[in-house]
Amino acid sequence: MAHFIYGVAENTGKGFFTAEDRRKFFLRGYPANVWMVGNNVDGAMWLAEKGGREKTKAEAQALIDAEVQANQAAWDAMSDEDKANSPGRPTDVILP
Amino acid sequence: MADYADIYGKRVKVFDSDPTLDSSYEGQVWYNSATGTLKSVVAFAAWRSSTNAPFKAVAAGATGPQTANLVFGGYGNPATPSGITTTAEYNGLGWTAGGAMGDGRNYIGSAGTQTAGLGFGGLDSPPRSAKTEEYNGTSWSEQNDLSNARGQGVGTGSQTAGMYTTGDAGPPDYSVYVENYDGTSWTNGTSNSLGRRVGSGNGSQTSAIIIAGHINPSDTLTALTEEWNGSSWSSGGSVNTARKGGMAAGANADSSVFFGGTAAPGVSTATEDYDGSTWATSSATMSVGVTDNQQGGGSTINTAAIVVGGSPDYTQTQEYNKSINTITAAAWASGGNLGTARRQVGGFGHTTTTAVCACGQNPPGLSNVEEYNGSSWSEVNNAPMARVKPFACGVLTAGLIGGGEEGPSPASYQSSAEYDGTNWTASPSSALGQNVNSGTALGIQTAALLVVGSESPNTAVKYYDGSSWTAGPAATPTSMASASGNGTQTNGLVYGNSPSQTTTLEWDGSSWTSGGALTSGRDRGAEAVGAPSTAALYFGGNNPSSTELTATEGYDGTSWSSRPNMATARRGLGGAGVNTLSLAFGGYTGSDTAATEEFTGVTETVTSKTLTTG
Repeated sequence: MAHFIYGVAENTGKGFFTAEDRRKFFLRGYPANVWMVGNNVDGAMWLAEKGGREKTKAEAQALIDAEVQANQAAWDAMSDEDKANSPGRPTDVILP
Repeated sequence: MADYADIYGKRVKVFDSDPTLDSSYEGQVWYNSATGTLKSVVAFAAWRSSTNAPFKAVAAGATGPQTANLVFGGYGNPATPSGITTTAEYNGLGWTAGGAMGDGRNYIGSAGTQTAGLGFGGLDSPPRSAKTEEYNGTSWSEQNDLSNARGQGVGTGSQTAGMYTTGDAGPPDYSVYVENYDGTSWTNGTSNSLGRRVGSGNGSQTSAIIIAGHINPSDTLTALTEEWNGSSWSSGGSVNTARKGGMAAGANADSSVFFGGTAAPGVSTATEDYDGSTWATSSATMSVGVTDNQQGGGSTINTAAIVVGGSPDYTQTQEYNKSINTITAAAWASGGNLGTARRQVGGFGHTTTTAVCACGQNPPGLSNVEEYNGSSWSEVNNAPMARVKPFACGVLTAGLIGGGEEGPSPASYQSSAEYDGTNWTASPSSALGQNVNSGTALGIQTAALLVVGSESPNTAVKYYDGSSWTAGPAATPTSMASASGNGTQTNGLVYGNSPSQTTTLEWDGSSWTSGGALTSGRDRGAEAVGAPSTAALYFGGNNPSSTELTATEGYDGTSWSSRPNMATARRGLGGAGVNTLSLAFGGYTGSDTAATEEFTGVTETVTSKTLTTG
């Protein structure tokens, strides 16, 4: 059984995930509204209740890659002056 | 039949609702007339999760109480047959790295405490080890070997009075060996009656219990126990669930809590209590079953145990408590999203319901200001000018920001501005007397301390008294640009100035001294700005690879240790609140984010139980 499930859900703010959720299952947010969730009943229920669309790990990674690559392209298009004032070129994000 | 008054000499009190409870109510009984129930405060058992360990503990050694536990060695994951040398220390809230063992081993025996630990035997290369190492709170040193090399035995006792019982000496695979350690060398003791391996146990050289495990033939699971009274072994009560590789904690042969291990089938989450004659299965079960890790002789409290490990990632920390309190683990939760996603913000406010997010960029410099009321952000009056990477401190009704720049044109500012909860008042444009960028401010509006950050002279320190800036009494020993800080003008803490450094500086009002090192190098994190210097909380930031982090750690006045991670990694974020109730907002995740997270520290609440229904 896979240790994690992946899904896309928009962080709607307060109550999107609670402290109790965090105690019950692993939860980690990534670019493109991708969420990596512990593969247990509580985690699966959370993703469903948030209207999340479940993705395979490869699909989730592709969404992240697209978002990061868009951010990288935007950074590459910046002037040198702007680059000097930015936090740096966005780094690749690889799902563990 | 005698009633309550006959027994206790007083009648049961009747309340309309449960009283405000504290520990003085333990054992007291009252009647709640609203619910028609008889209530009391009694101890109850429960497991809860805590901060994940910094390494994967599989067949690791461990010893010490719940508030000062030491975990070391083991297989790691993926498995390293010769064992890993990793050591980590737990303080009841989080983890810090300890000194590496000289020789990595798995199924290692354990005894002693976090500052006087003992690791012995284990499975190694060659397969069974006789090595002994002592831990002094910082580093391990090799000592005299065991007489009988073996692993999967039971360690009890202390660094100066340790005992190693049973184990796989291959052959014998199920030994009855007992050896005693006096702080220098091992001597043979009275042998056990029943040979076993991967058993459990607790106690000391004068009173101990050996519990369950595998026995001959062919790794038969046993429920049998043996008790040691200082002179002889005798059979004890059998556990309810036979298993191997469980963990145990308790002071002697008459008090033990036994948990986890491998039963038939699978890893057990069961917990059993021993009263010296009978084992009782507890209603408390572990959320994740753990097997094959030790809890050695220093784990002497049977009402407060800890274990780390268990599938799927072997870093979960679980705490067991039997008390009148409901203990709730620390965690981050989502908060209301900012109206404007942004990074490099100025955050201030000492509570999570009175926080301020000022300025920043997305990427143009922003003068926007938002206030948080505990659930949502609302736009308020703009700051006098846009500032990127400003310093900030104070409370909602008396805040202070300053310095920074207005991207994209770098021109750091020499000014500051005060906030009164409604309006902003700008200082003269050269009030700071030098350019200030990526600085860190701590304290309050009328008594602030500013560490100036990246602009030369970049070790300068400034004081603000509510009306003017003056030079501080002592420069920092190194530049602390992009750092975080909390505390007061006379008792402060600054940290997180570089991804490649773990520097912490403590300020006593006259001089800077080195504090405990961060658990990992990073900068551009945020902090609980209202926390005292002895109770800091630092979260987010980026590592040397410019990767944003979810990491959270706390400072206790001496050392940093891990806390539960945020859900979303970010840098250039803002922080507010104190170490037990904190707020993280905004920042950069590869793009600007509006996300907010709220941190709640561990809480303990006296909890009543219903005895009967009316």
